[in-house]
Amino acid sequence: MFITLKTKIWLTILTIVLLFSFFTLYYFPEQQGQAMMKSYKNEVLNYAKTVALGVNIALNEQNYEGVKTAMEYVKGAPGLKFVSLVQVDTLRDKNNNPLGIRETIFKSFPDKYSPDSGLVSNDTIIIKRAPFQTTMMSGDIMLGFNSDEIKKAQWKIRKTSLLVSGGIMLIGLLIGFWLAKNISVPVRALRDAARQVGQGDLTPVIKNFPRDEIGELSKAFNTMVQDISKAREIRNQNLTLTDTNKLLNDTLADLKATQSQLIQSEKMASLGELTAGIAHEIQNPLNFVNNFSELNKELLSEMNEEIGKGNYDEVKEIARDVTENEEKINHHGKRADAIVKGMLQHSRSSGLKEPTNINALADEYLRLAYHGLRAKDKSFNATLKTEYDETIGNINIIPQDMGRVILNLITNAFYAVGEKKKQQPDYEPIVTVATRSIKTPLGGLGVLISVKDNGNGIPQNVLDKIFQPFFTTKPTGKGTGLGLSMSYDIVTKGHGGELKVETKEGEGAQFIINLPV
Amino acid sequence: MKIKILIVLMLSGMIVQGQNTNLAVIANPGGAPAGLKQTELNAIFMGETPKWSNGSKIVLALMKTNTTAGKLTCDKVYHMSGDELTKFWLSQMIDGKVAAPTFFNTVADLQTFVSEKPGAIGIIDLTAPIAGVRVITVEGKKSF
Repeated sequence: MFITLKTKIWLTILTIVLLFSFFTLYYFPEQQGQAMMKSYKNEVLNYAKTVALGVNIALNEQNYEGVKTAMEYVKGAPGLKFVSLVQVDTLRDKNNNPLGIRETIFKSFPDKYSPDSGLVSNDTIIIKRAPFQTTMMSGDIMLGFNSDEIKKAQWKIRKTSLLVSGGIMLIGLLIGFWLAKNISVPVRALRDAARQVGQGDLTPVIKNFPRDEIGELSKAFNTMVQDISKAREIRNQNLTLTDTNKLLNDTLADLKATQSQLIQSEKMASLGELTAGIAHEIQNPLNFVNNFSELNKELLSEMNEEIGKGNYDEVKEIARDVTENEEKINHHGKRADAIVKGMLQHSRSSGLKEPTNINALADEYLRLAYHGLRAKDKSFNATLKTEYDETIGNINIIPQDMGRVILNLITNAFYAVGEKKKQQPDYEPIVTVATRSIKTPLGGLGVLISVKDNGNGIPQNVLDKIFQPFFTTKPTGKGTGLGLSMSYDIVTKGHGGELKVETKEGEGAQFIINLPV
Repeated sequence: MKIKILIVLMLSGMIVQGQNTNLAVIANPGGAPAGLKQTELNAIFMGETPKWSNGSKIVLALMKTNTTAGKLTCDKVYHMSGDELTKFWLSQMIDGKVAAPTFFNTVADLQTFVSEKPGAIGIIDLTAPIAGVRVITVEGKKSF
């Protein structure tokens, strides 16, 4: 059975009020009335005893005035109806044996009232008797008091009780309303709000809560709802983040795949640039081989003719030329072999550092880059300057990776001067590659490798982005945006060095590789 | 048994002796006349005559009914027993008709009362000395 809190409050108050009303309207007046009646009867009895004592004394002294005085003692008592002197005589036979008791009202006061000697108390009158006994006369003093005063007093008590009970009931009602307002209403508000929260609505806020435990509960509830709301928001954010993370992971995977493809493309691009240079490099020895082999072929024909003529001195001369040509063919064949091996090394990086002549490496890639570009664009031309520090010797680097860096920087320099040449036909492009041995601030040794051009320079607004992956100022299809990024990673992460740029807009740029030795 | 009979006889003798004693009426010199008739005396002591001829209030003085003089007074003046006299005066007093007499234990007290109370009149036996009061004759006799 569900009983609401409001009902419980009202039942409690009603019970208390009813109990109190029973006490004030019935029990208390009844008890008070009985007590008053008992007290009143005792008082009447005391009056009777007092009068009887006075009468007794006065009669013994035959002081009849005293008897009257004694009887008049109760004259002014409130509620007195009468006071009677009852004469009690013992009836005897002729042999003086008692026959019975005869009671007669000797005198009463006031005179108009003549009670019966056998009168007893009833609802309207209280009768009390007290005996007196003298040698002259024996009897009782009988007092009659009406009970109106007691009834009036009892009615007054009941009336007062009724008023008090009414007041208590009114107070009970007020307390009931107050409790209902201060307990039931906030609790119901809490219940409704809790239901809303239970249904997923986190907007309810308990307002105007009382300053008591329910108020504290309301505050705690509001805090709880806020916490739940925040937790839900965080959970939603987490879910969003999870989705975003998943998306990012997918994107990252895609990016990695794309990056791998781009890196591969970058490698292929650099390989393409190298191929052109390599082809140009190989072409020269091949030309020598072809030319000298053709020349030897002609010399051998001529030598056969001279042998037929028997001109052996001439034959010896021709044979010596053939031998020299063979040496040249052999020399240029080895050179072509070295170029092919270098190309293989470029395509198959071991990832291990090895002592490398940085000057040779830089010079090789300078020439490969230049000839590679010239192979694609015959109109390109630039003055190449080299300033190598011959004191450097071999340094421990990964030659394939560092060669790729130098190639990238030189290719960028060629692109920069080429673009400026297109804008300024009178412009003379210059690209300078230099190396220099230095001392680090901590006292160690280092090597600077710089690639400098006199192109348009790098705008300040893109200067802090040039090492970011996929950033490029080149037109679409001309660059991947990974060249400088990969170069930066190779220098800093692969070799523990620095790659920085110095530029002045309109005057050119210089990339400097600082490698610890 | 003999002792009881003797006591009864002695008491009877005393009563006979008391009954033979005469009574005298005394009064305060102021108010009361020198002599009264028996009917006047009866009327005065029954409370029927409340005042003297000079207008002064009559104050009654009697010996208690348990004294010899008192018993004689009950017998000769009131013709009642002591109890009847008590009830008579009690009734008269409560009714407010008259002022009840004052009862005394000794003649001396009664005489003193009468001598000091103007309008007072009392009855004593002649065996007691008489001083400071006037003896009122009844039917011309000083005792009856």
